[in-house]
This record gives sequence, structure tokens and C-alpha cells, in this order.
Amino acid sequence: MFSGPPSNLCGLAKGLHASVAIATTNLPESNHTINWNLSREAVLLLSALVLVILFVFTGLMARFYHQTERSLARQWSINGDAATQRGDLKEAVDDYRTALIYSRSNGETSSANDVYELHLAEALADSGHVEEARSYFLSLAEKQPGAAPVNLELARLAARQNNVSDAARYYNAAIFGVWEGDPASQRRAARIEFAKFLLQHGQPTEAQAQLIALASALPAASRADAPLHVQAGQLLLEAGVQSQAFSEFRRALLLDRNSLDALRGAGMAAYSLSDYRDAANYLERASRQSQLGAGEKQFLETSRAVVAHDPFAAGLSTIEQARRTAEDFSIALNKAQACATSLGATASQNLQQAIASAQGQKPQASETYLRQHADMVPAIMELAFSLEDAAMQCGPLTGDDLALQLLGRSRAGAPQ
Amino acid sequence: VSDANSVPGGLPSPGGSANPNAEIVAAPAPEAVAESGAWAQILKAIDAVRQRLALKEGSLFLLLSVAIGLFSGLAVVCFRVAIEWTRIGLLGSAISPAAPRVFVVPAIAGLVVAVLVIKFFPRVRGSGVNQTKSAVYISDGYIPFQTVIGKFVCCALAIGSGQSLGPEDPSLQMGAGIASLLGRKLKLSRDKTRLIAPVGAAAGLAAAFNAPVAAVIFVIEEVIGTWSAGVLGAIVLAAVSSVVVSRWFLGSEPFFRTPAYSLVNPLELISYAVLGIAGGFVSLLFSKLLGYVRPRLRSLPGKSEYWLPAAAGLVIGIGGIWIPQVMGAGYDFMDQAMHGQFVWYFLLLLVFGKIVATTLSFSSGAPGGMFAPALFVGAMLGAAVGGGEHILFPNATGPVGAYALVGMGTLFAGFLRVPLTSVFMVLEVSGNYSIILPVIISNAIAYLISLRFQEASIFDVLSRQEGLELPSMEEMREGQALRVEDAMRPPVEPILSSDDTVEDAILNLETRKEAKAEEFFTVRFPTGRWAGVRIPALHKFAADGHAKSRLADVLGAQRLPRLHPDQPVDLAMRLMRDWPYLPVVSRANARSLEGVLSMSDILSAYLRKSA
Repeated sequence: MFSGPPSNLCGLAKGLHASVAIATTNLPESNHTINWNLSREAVLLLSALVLVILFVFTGLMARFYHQTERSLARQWSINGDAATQRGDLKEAVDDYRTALIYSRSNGETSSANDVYELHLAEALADSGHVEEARSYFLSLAEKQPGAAPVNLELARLAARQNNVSDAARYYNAAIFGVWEGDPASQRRAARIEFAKFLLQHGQPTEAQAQLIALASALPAASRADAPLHVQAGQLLLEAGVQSQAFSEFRRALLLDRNSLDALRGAGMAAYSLSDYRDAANYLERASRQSQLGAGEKQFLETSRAVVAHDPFAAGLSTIEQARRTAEDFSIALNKAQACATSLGATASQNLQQAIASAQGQKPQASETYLRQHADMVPAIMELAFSLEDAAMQCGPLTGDDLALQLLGRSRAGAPQ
Repeated sequence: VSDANSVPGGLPSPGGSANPNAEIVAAPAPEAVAESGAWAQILKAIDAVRQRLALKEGSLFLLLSVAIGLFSGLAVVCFRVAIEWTRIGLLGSAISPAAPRVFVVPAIAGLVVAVLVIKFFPRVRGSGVNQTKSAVYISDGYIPFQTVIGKFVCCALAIGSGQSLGPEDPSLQMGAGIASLLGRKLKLSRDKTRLIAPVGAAAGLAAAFNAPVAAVIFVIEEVIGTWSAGVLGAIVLAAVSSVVVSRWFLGSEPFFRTPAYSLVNPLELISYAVLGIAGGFVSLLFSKLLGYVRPRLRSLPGKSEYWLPAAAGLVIGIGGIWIPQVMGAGYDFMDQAMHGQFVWYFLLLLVFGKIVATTLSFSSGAPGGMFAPALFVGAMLGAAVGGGEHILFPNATGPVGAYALVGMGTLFAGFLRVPLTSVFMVLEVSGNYSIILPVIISNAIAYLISLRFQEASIFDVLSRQEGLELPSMEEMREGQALRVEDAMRPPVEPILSSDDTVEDAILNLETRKEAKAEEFFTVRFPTGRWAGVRIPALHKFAADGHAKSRLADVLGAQRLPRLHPDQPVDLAMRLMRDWPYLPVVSRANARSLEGVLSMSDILSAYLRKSA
């Protein structure tokens, strides 16, 4: 118990640090001295009052301080954006870092803080400070595990370091994460990036899965969506899924029948699928719009040749079929003979046997004979195909010989 | 009317014994007298209730600790905000201030600080730790509130203008000052008033550092020096309260984004040992430089105390044009170092630049703390060692940030010589207990190197330069206390048994020529208790007709206090009242007498030790 001097509430009001007594000694019936002893209590009360006032003052000051910080953070972030646009990454890093200094301790603006942190991390990553960038991204990912942009950046950092497993983990988190503003297109872009990464790292099977999923979710509402299908088709073609690629190009052409990229892609995809008629058709349409590249030109010519030499094409008359067969046989035999002559004694037995067999069948391979014996066309063509295959000993085939070889393979169902 | 200042056991109020506001109520008017009976009864009842509700001093002390924590937290929040505003106002908001400002501002601010310190706040010089200790040990915990205000203003100006000093130690002193004021106003007893300052110190440091555990341990390790349950409770309460306030207003985000860390390869500990060695020698360099430069600058003739802070500011400002990182507390740059922002040779430049800048700032008389500079130097050194390790051993897994973090603790252990605080500080800041092994290894090595090559800690060096003989907590920790086993001697033979008769005992003693009448012989009881008796007393028992009685019966109930060999001698001295010596018995068997201890034995032991 405090045993200080007696005091009263007047004392509390007048001078709170001193004890004051009230004496009732002059009262005749009561000589009781009231021991208020409020000195300590008074100090405690006063302390509580001062504490409240200080709390309010500090609160106001802290609020003003945080407002200043927020404003500075915004200003420095804007400077950072400008520096990024100028391509001055060093200054951008400094600016974002300053923004973060003024933003980081401010709990009210955690979302703004995260944005600055994200910008800083992106600038750091772009300027080659991978580890520090990763630290910021990881810190952001810890705060918002589902934040897709953060996971995408982490995926890019892992991809940059060829860390396939981490990259795959973060890309998946980005694809299935939370995007702000147009999540569908963001997810699509992330998936495309992921698929490209997988293709670059020799993982076409995983890439195919991503691309098929991508293709299934592509919009097909307007002409503006055609490029998406073209891009998907191109990636599918790269991943070796030609049929899916072809259908994506065709979907693109349905949306925009004059899309040059779609025509080119469809032509290439059709060529890969041994559909030379379509290949020639699409590539011809493309060539009418724009000049084709050397490779595409080659494909167009080969496709045209295959179509021109194909005796099995639907709707051919017997006369035309016989003419094509005889011509193909003649081309193949000439090629084989030329090859054998150039090789001399080193010509393979296979080549020699094929030539010998063809020589024996020469009468049946005449146009006149074939007009009357249309059933002999497949057999003669098989002979022509075997001659072309045997002539491969002299090197890759070109022109009509290549067309015949491709025709033969497409008949056999072999991949191109 | 009682004397307002006659609190039993308390201190007189600083204002003196007179009660300026005391008043005596004049005699009441006659009509009031009739009512006074009932009024007096009411007042009596209220007084009884009040007395029942009044706090005891122990409870008040704990309540006061919370209040101190809250006040200190608020003060530190305002202090940190003031530093930031000062910095933004004087140096601008950019990380790297513009060259003209850097050149001019620290010098001018240094001059202003010097005038403020010399003319208005002479007690605010220094970091605040020794000043708090001197308040505790010299002034019974008295710290004028003017010092708190002065510390606030001068440190905010000095640190905000770019002097290479930190806000933690000043916060510690401000907390102690607030506590001292409250203690005085509440007229606490002398003991409590003396203890209240460290409570405030812990609160101030905890709020400034956002690390309550490290603050509590630092105050116990460096200011109080002892672990006492009563004080510990109050210190913890104050520290927690202040941190709550600080986090409430400034957010709970740590100063640094600490990197994820796990020790993958135990061989990596070798690198941390290397960091410990480097940290030990850098701490030595820092301490020696500060210990050498400070007295020399302070002894410069003329009005040097006016222009020294300005000159230090000018030098730091010029350096700051190229390496602005060494200006101010530098927490943001520590964060950057933790994340591999700097290359190792630049980090080493920062280490030495900061040591020079801090030495100049502190020695010039500008008020401010050394915690932040020590952390800065440690972080940069750690990051440099970590960066070097990654260059030499590219497959090393430890992140540079982990080295920077450990480096901070290393400088704390080596420079400030607070080994426990250093470990807990790193753990608390990082929140990662897997880093404890590197921290302990590195800190222990740095501490031992510093201990080996520097006699006293930096706080002791500085207090001695001030002419103060403050108790050295380190010496208390490291000094070996004299124990009973160091002073005891073999027991005086024979040892009597409580079952012996008085007659047998006399016979036993008299047959031994060495037994002297003035000797005090020990008597063993079967219960393991001991008593003592002299030959004349035995003869008296025999003369009184108790010759055939057992010693147990004639010696009565009084027994000798027992000592154990491992107990401190000062305990023995407290127990040794009327007995010439006390038995020293084994802890395993109280009946086994290992020796006896007398006051002369203790004095001889002290003489031997001092010789």
C-alpha cells in the first residue's frame, strides 16, 4: 500500500505531482484526516491522459508520414516507369528501389508495395540481377502464392537458367493463377510461352499437351481471332502435331480467308500430312498474295509436281492415268539408269535389280498398253517408286524424282 | 499535514522536501459543521475503498513497465519519423542524394547540432548506452527529461543530415529517460527508480530495433548485468509494449528481406568461420580506431567542439558524393547487400568507408548510436565474404544474404562485445533458426579474437575516456568468482559424532595433542546436519552433570549452516554470522565433510587471488 502523504482531488487538479491533504481536523464531531494519498494515482491518471494525447498525436503524425511516403513512392515509381520506357534499366532499378523504400513499411498500401516490388524485380531481371530479382519474386510469391504474374516471372528466371522443372512448376502456376484484367489472354500468352520453352528444351510431348489445351480454348468469334489460331497452328506444327496444326490453320482461314500466314501454315501442314493437293492449293493462294520464301516455293513446286504426276488422283480419265503412269515410269527409269551409270561398278545390287526389273516391264509401262490395261497402273507405279528409292544412292532427289518419291511414300503411308 | 515527500523507503522528490501545493483547509463555517459528520463518513468510506484498491509497489512497477513501453514506443515512432523527415527535407528523397546537398547539408547540420549540444543539451553526447549505465550506477537512475528532448532533436538532425550514426542507442537512452521521469513522478523507492531506467532502455531499444528479445538480452547483458526475475518481467513487458506500439504505427515489416537459408553442406561452416575471423579483426580495427581518434579529436584546443561535427559532416559529405551508402544509418543499403546488389570489392570499400565515417561522426561529438554502423559494417563484410566464396567456389549453396546476416551478428559480437545479443539479434531479424549454427561459429570466433586483442569492450573504453568508472558487464561475465572450494581448508580432526557422550568426546579430544582449547570441533549428526563445539564447553556440560549425556542431547537444536564446494564465497560470508567456521559438505552426501571455511580462510583466498 502506498504510504505517501494525504492528498485530495483539488491537489490533483492543481499540481498533480505533489500530494495534497485535506484536513477535517476543525470539525468538532470528526477529527478524521482523510488520507487521499492520490499522488501516485494522480500521476498515473495524468500519464494515461498524456498517453492518449500522445497516441492521437503520433497517430496523426504517422498518418501524415505514411501519406508522404505513399506520394513519394508513387512519384518514384512513375520515374521508374519512364526510365523503363527509355530503356534505362539502371535508373529504373534505382527509381523502383526508392519507391519501394517509401512504400515497404506502409502496411496500408501493401498492394501498391507489391506492384513496386514487381516492377523492381522485373527491372532487376531485365538488367541481369537475376538473384536479387528472384528474391523479390519469391517474396511476392510467398505473400500471394496464386499471383500469376509473379509466377510467370519466376518461370522466366528459371527458364533463363535452363531449370526445366522449376520453370514448368512456375509456368503451370502462372497459367492456373490469378490474373488481373483479361485473364484468358494472359493465360493463353503464358501457355504459349511455356510451350515455346518446352520446344526449345526438347520436350515436344509436353509441349503438345500444352498446345492442344491452348487450341481447345482459343476463341473463334471474329476475324481478329485468326492470328491466335495461326500462332497455335505454327507451334503445333513445330511440336509435330501436323493434323492439329492443319485444322488450326483452317480455322484461321475460316475466320479470315485471306490470312497469308494461315495460308502458308496450312500449305506447310498439308505438305507434312502428304496432302499435296491442299498444300499446292494453299501455297498457290499464298503466293498470289505475297512472294513466298525459298522453302515455301520449293514446297509449292514439289506439291505441284506431286499433283501433276499422280496417276491415282480422283477423276482422271484412263487415258490421262495411262499417260501419267508411263511418264512417271520413264522418269524413274531414266533417273535410276543415270545414277547407275554415274556410280558404275559401285552401284548397289538393289539399284541394278530395280533397273533390270524395270527393263523387263518396259513394254507394259507404255502409254498404249496401260490405256488398255488400267489394272497394271499400280504395279508399274510401284516399280517407278522402287526405282526412285534405289536412285537415292546418288543423293537426295529433286524435282519430278522427289515428287515421285513423295507420291510413293504417301501411297505407302510413310511419314514425310 | 503530512510531508508530501516523506514516502517511506522512497527518495525525496527532486523539487525538494517542501510541498508547494500543500494547503490546509480553513475552519469550516458553522452551518458546514452540521453536515460535516456525514461528509466525513463518506470520505472515510471512499478512503477505505481507495486504500483497498491502491497498488503495491511491485504491482505498480509492472504496470509502470507497460506504460513505459507505450511511452517509449510512441517516442521512438516519432523519432524515426523525425529522422526520415529530416533526411527527406535536407538531403532529398532519392537513395543517392544530389552532390551539392551532400556537400553542404551534413556540415551545416553538424554545426547546428554542435551548438544545440553545447548550449542546450550537454548530456546528449555519445551513443546513449553508457549514459544510461551511468544514470543507473551513478545517479540512481536519474536522467533529466531535457536529455530525452535533446537526444530526440539532436540525433534526428545528425542522423537525418547524413552523419554516420544510428537511431537505436539514442532510442535506448530516450526510453530510459522517459522511464526515469515516470519513476520520479511516481516516487518509486530508490531501488525501483534505479531499475526503472534499464526497463525504459529495453523498451526504447526494442521499438527502435523491432526486436524485443534482442533488446531485452542486450539490456541485461550490457546495462544491468544480472538476471533477476523481478526485473526481467518488467523489462519484457516494457519491450513487448513498445514493439507493439512501434509496429502499430510503422508496420511490422522487418528492416531487411532476409534470404531463405538452409545449411546444405557442412563444409560451408568453414566459410562462416572465415567470416568470424574477418569480423573479429574488423571489429578490432573499428574499436581501436574509435578508441584512438576520439580522445585526440576531443582534446583539440580552441572551440573545436563547435566545428568538429561540422568538419566531420563535411568529410562524410564529400565521401558521400561517391559512396552515399556510408551516410546515415544505412538500413536500405544493408538490404541491398543482402541481395547481392554489390560486388565484393565495393562491399569492402563500404566496410572501411563506414568505419572511417562512423569514427569521425562519433568522435566529433555528434550524438548518435553505433548499433546501425556496426550492423552496416557487419552486413557489408559478410556479403563480401559470401561474394568471395561464390567466386572461389561457384558450387557453394549459401546465399550472400545469409553471410550478410551472419556478418551483422559477428560485428555485434566482436565490436559491441555482446555475444548473446548478437546471436538472438540475428535469429530475431531473420526469423530463421537454421542459421543458428553459422551465427554461433562466426560470432564466437569474432568475440574471442576481440577479447584476445582488446582489453575492454568499446562501451568500457568510451566510458573510461569520459572519466567514468562504470561497472564492466563483460568483466563481470568473464571474471571468475571465488568459490568455497578455493578458500576452504581440511576439517579439524577429530570429527565428533552426535552419539558420542560428553565424556567420550572430552577423552577423544584430550588424547590428541594438537587439539587446542580454542578450536571449534565439528559434530556430525546422522541426519547430515552439523554442529560445532569447543573443549571448554564440553567441560562445562560435564561439570553440569551431563558427562554421560550424548552430544546430540546437550547441543540443543541449533545447527551449523552447510556449504558446498561450488558455492560462491560471498554466500558463505552471508551465512557466517556467529560461527568461527562452517562445514563444507558434499552435495552427494551431506554427512561427508570435505572441509571447513572460516572468515580468515576467505580473506586468505582473496589475498591469494589478488596476488
